[in-house]
This record gives sequence, structure tokens and C-alpha cells, in this order.
Amino acid sequence: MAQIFANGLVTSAVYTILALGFGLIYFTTKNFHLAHGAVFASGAYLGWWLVVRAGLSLPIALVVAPLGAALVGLAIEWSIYRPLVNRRASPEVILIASLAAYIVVVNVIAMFAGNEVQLLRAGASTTWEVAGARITTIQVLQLASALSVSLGLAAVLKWTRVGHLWRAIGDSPELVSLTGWNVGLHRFGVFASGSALAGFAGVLVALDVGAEPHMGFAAVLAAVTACIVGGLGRYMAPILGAVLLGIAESVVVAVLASRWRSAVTLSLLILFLVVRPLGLLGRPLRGEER
Amino acid sequence: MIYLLHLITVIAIYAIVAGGLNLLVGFAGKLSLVQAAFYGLGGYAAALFALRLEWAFPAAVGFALAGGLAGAMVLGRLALRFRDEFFVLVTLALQVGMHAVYLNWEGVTGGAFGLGGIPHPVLGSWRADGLAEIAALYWVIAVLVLLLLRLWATSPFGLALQAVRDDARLSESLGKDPRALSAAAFTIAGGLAALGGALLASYVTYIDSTSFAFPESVFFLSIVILGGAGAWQGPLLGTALLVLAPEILRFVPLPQGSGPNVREILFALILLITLRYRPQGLLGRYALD
Amino acid sequence: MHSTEDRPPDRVAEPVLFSSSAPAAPPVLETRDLSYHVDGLAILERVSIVVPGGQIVAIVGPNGAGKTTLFELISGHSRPTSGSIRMGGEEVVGLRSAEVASRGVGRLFQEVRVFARLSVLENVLVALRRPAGESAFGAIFDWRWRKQRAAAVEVAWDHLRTVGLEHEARRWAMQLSFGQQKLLGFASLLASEAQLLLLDEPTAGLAPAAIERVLGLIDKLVQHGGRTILLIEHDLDSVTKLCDRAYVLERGQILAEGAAEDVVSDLQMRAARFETLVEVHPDLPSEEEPCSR
Repeated sequence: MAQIFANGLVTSAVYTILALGFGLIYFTTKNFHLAHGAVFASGAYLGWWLVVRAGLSLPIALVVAPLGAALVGLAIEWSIYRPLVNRRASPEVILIASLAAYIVVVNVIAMFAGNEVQLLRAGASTTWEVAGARITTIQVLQLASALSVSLGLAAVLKWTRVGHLWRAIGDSPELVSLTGWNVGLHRFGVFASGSALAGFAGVLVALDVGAEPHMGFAAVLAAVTACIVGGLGRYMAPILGAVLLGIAESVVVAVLASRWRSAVTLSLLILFLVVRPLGLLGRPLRGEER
Repeated sequence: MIYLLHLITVIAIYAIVAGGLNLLVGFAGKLSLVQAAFYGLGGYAAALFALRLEWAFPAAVGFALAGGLAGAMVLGRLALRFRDEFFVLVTLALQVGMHAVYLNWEGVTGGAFGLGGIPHPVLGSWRADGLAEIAALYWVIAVLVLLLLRLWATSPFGLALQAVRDDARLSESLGKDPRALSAAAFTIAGGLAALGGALLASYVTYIDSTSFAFPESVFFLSIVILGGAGAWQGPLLGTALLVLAPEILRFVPLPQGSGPNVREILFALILLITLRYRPQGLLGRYALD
Repeated sequence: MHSTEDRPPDRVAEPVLFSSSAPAAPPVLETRDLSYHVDGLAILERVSIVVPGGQIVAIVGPNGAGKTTLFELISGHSRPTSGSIRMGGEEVVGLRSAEVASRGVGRLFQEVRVFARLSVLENVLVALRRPAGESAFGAIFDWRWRKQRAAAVEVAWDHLRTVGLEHEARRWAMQLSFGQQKLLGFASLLASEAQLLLLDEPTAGLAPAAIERVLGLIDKLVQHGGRTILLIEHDLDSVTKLCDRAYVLERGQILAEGAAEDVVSDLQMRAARFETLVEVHPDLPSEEEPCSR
């Protein structure tokens, strides 16, 4: 019982980091960046390559891989989304484009690194026993990372000028650019940050279960679900969605079988879209905005 | 020659599926990612009718088509509650969900092992065992489907669909019901996808879930967008191009075993380039924007 | 159409039904105590208007008064919080807008709306009432639309000629200028054979020549077509020239109603004296008023 809860919490940790990154990008730019899953995978593979192939240490990989992932995210924004946004393409078109970008990146990864799972093992991993549940060092790392990322993002959004700008852009990009800010530059910043988070999550997962080219698909759907369950428009709400999703998954996997994992994500996604599209914490729009 | 006949047969099948999708994407203006799942629905239905119930080709395909129409009618009610990117997201969720069923419901679909031994088409006493015969039969069906699509495209129904696509509110004020019209397009798209799947099953005699996953949906969408959304001939041109394009790869030296990856990259790149530089596609009237 | 007497318009604290023309048939449009509240904000408050058949009635008032919202409720695009809307005596609240439209209600939107990627001719064609062929089944099995196709196209051309757009027939609607798109909207309304027309600022943004054309069209619609028109207008001159009756809507309430020229001259006299119709300072006439009056 405690084990189920612990497993759920650990799953939510990775989902949290991934969903916060997705939410950051989506709430600010309104672009449904499904290629976030490919960025996630890029981070995982970069981390693996840095440690296993290039022989660098794990701490270095934990810093460099997210940077590399940020570059991948920036490349996608620059080459694909930006031209479409400038032409005022509709949200659906951008979503389709992001899927195409996902396919390209993921297949490039598969071409270079193969389709099998690649494990990132950096030293021995011990198992701890906490309150009747087993948890590995890696998983502790995941939990700690999720916590620090959450606190860090919250701080940025609340106290820094950049964070305020991001929120303003999410509200009304035209108004922000009219007041003189370079919205395009800040879009880059948002994509870089969100992608770095995705890359970071990727390395953490590679350490835990390994990396395979299609790892990002189910993961990004989970991130999307976490954002929708948590509440659209609220940057920190994905945490709530991620925790719920993680625990729900853990319960289902324990009771049924691990192959029903994706069913949990999809069911929650459709359930919330139909019954409570604003999510648990989402704010309804003001009357004039309807 | 044999390979050419194979390509021709494949083009017929895909043209049917893409033609249906074009009615939804190009005429009704709704981007959908669930087409491959309905393709699979038809494939499995026809296979099961033929294998378990021993129905003949016309019955198996006919009921597979009916199943696709029914499934699309039901799922369409769910998906069409949403607008814009959420509609696309829901169709993606449906696609992933249905594919997961195909992959995991081993008792019925054979899971990863698939279903084999599906019989070739038989019409009365005529068996279409040879490649040429199947190609001919499927082309007759494809032409009929394309003519039907052309009829719809040029009818008041087609015009009303395009009106709803361009401005749903204005079309409402003229008495058109956007929900009913979009639902009709969604249903037809699903039905034709299922028809294509049924034809596929009887052609390749073995199907498994890998043909019905989300990259296939993106592939169908690429066909529609490349050929030209909103033009009834678009899917035919798009299919021909995207089926023949990978053949060029034969002459390009590629790393061992990376063929499937390069194919997927190719389709995705074509989609991206089309969206960016020529969103109305080659024949298109309707520029996806 | 100027009255010889200089009497003030009827001021209403409550809705007043005419006694001057008491038709036996129910009015084409009638709203009673129509209210629309959003998040505690009263956008429309107990609005009651009557539009008898064959008349042109204007709604005037400053921006933000709720005029377009009133149209939204009448055409069925939004649901009122309370109150009733009757057309020809029948209650229509709760009907979907497509259903309201099929009862013969047409609307010209304030923001110009066309089917951008259809040709000008197709824009009119699609507005025609063609019951056959507009469903998937109908297109296949109902052969009437195929036989009537040529005739329908001819009718569409006629409507284009009426509004003067016949030379643009093949162009895409989005390639037309603003004024041309407005005229296209009129052509579509003609084609739809709607008997009750809701025109939201039909002359806004048009050059004087086009305004004349539109006013002529509106007049013709009623005189020769027997239609009924409810009109939102800022140009008080047009209101005087064209309309039989007028209502003043402000802050969501009807503050005055009466014969069009009376209402307008009263508003103009008040404006000249810097008097206001409401205790709080309203902003009328609006900024969009043409300078030459």
C-alpha cells in the first residue's frame, strides 16, 4: 500500500517536471508543443551519450543534457513554430506541425542510437526503505528534483521580471509587444526553459529505466493530461495533475497490469476534457471573454 | 511489374482512406488524427468476420464499413464537442486509445502477433487471388468512392460544409447546422477509413496493430494536405506522390535498417514543408491556416 | 418624412404597445422583459420591443449599450437570462440559431462576415434556400438539387446584380474590399429570403455612395419584398430617412421609443443643449457619426 503510494509519487516527480515545462510553454505561447516529448527524449539520449559514450560524470550530464535539450526546443521553435505563428496559423496547424517535428526528431534519434533501450547507469544504486516502501537513490533524486524545479519555477514566476513578463505574454501578447517588449525573444526564453526542464526529466528517466526513442510520446500525453487536470492557465497547477496522475497510474498498475498505464492517462484526459475542462484549479474566464 | 501492381493496389486503398479524411479536413475544416484507428477498425472487423464467422468478402467488407460508420458516429459526438486544438487533441487521444486496444486485446486482435490467414477477395464464384485481379477490383471500388466524394464535393452538402468551415457563425445565421454537418463529415471519414482497412486486410492477408498507430494518422493527414485539402482530386494526387516518394529512397544509400525511420522522417518533412510554404497543397483551394 | 408637429417622443417607464396601428396578426418580432445578465452584470434589462410586419424599426444608442447583444439573443446565438422573444406569436427562446434562421430570420453582422474561401457567387448560392441536397444522404438520393442547379445559379446572379457585385462573382470573398463584403452580405440576405432582417450597423464604414446604395436596398427590401427590418444604426440621418419607429437603448434599457423622426430630433435637441437622456452622462451621438449632418 505504501509502496503503491511511493511508486505513484516517484512517477509524479518526473511528470511534474515534464508538465511544468509543457505548461510553461503552452500557457505563455498558446502553442500546443507536443514535440516536447521529443525534446524529453533528446535530453535522455544526450545524458546517456555523455555518460556512457563520452565518459563524463553524471553531474556534468545533468547540466549539459538539459542545455542540449534547450537547443533542440529552440531549434523547433525557430524553424517550425515561429514562421507559422508569424503567419497567424491556427492552433490546430501548430499542433500538427509539432507532431511532425516530434516524428522527425524521434526518428533521427532512432537512426543514430538504435531502437533498443539504452540504460544510463552511473555508479551503484542503493535502495532505501522509507515508511514501509522501497525507493532507490535515483528515485530520491527524482523527487528532490521535482521539488526544486517546482520551487524554482514558482519563484521565477512570482518574483522575477522575466516571470512576470511570461505571464503577461500568456495573457495578451499584443499588449506586451505594444509596450515595447520583444515578445519573440521571450518566446525563445520560454521554449529554452521549458525544453531544459524536459531534458532534465529525460536524464532522470534514463537513469531510472533507460531511454528508448518513443519514450516521449506517452510522456508528453501524460504532461498534457497533468496540465488539463491541474487547470489550464495556472502555471503551477500541473503539479497537482501530475501527482494525481502518478498515483492513479500506480494504483492501476498494481491492481491490473502495467500495460493499462496509458489507459489511465487517456481516461483522465478525456474525463476532464468532457466533465471539467478547466481542470481542478483553472480559473473561468471573465464574462467579456466568453 | 509485380511491385508496380502492389503499389497501384496500395494507392487505391490509401486514396479511399485519404479521400474520406479530406471531406473532414478539407471541406469541414477539422484536422483529425484518428483516421488510422478507424482504418484499423475496418481491418480487424473484416478480418474477424472472414476468419471467425467465415463471411464472404462482400459481407465482411460491407459490415466493416458499417462498423466504421457506426463507430465514427459515436466517437464523433464526443470529439466534436471540442473546438480547435482540443478537437485535434481528443482525436489524438482516441487514436492512441483505440490503438492500445488493438495492441492489448490479444484474445480478439491477436495483439502484437496480429491476425493471419485472411482470405483474398471472393465475389460469388470469382476469386481475386492474383495481384492484377485484386488491383483491378480495388481500383473499381476506389473510383466509385472518388466519384461519390466528387458528388458530395459539388453538391449543396459540400458547399454547406465549406461554409461551416469558413465561418460557422455566419452559416448558422443562414440556417445551416454546423454540428450536424461536421458530424456527417466525421462519420463518412471514419466509414471510408474502415472500408480501406477492410480492403487492406483482404489484400495483405495478415494485419497487426503496427499499421494502425498514430504515425499512420499523420501519414494520411500528409496525403490530404499535400494533395490539396478541399479539392476532391487532392487525395488521389497526394496518395500517388506519397506512395511513390519513398521509392526514390531505394537509390539513396542509407544506414542499414534505418529504412522505416527515413520514411517517417520523409513524410513528416513533406508535411512540415507543405504546411509552411504551400498550405493549400498542390491542388488545393483551401489553405490550412 | 418629417412630422409637422414638434412633440417630444414617447418616454417610457414601461413598455407601451402602439394603439395607432393595431394589427390583428401578431407582430413579426416581439420581445418582452428580455434580460441578459453575465456574472452579475446586467447587459440587458427588461427590454421590450415590438416590430410589426412590413416596418423598419431602428435601435439607436451609444456603444456598449447592448444593441448587438440584443441581436445575439433574437437570432438565437445566446440565451436570455429571462424574458421572452416571440416571432409571429411563437416563442423562440431556446431554439438554436440555425433553427431561428430557418424560420426566416436573417442577420447582417456588425463585423463583416463572409465565407472567405468561397467565391462571391458561391457565397450567395450557399445562402439560397435549397432544402434538397444539403445533407449527405440528400446529396446522393434527392435529385431535385441537380435539376434545379442551373436555376439556382441564375437566381444567385440576379442577387449579385441587385447589389452590383456581378463583376466580382468569380473572385474569392476574402479578396473583396470591406464595402464589397458588406454588399455581399446583403446579397446573401436577399438569397436567403429571410422575412425578418436584423441589420447591425449596415452603413458603418461605407463611403457615402455605398451608403446610399445600402439605404436604397433596405427600402426596396421592405417596399417590394414585404420584409420586416430591425436595424442598429448610429447614423441618425439614415434613421430619419428610412425608419418608421425607433427605440433608444442605453445601458441595457429602453429609454425612449416612438416615431423615428421624433426620437431622432429629440436626441439631437438634447445633444445641442448638452442634456442627457439618462442621469449619468451618456456618450451620444457616438464618435462614428459622419461629420456632415
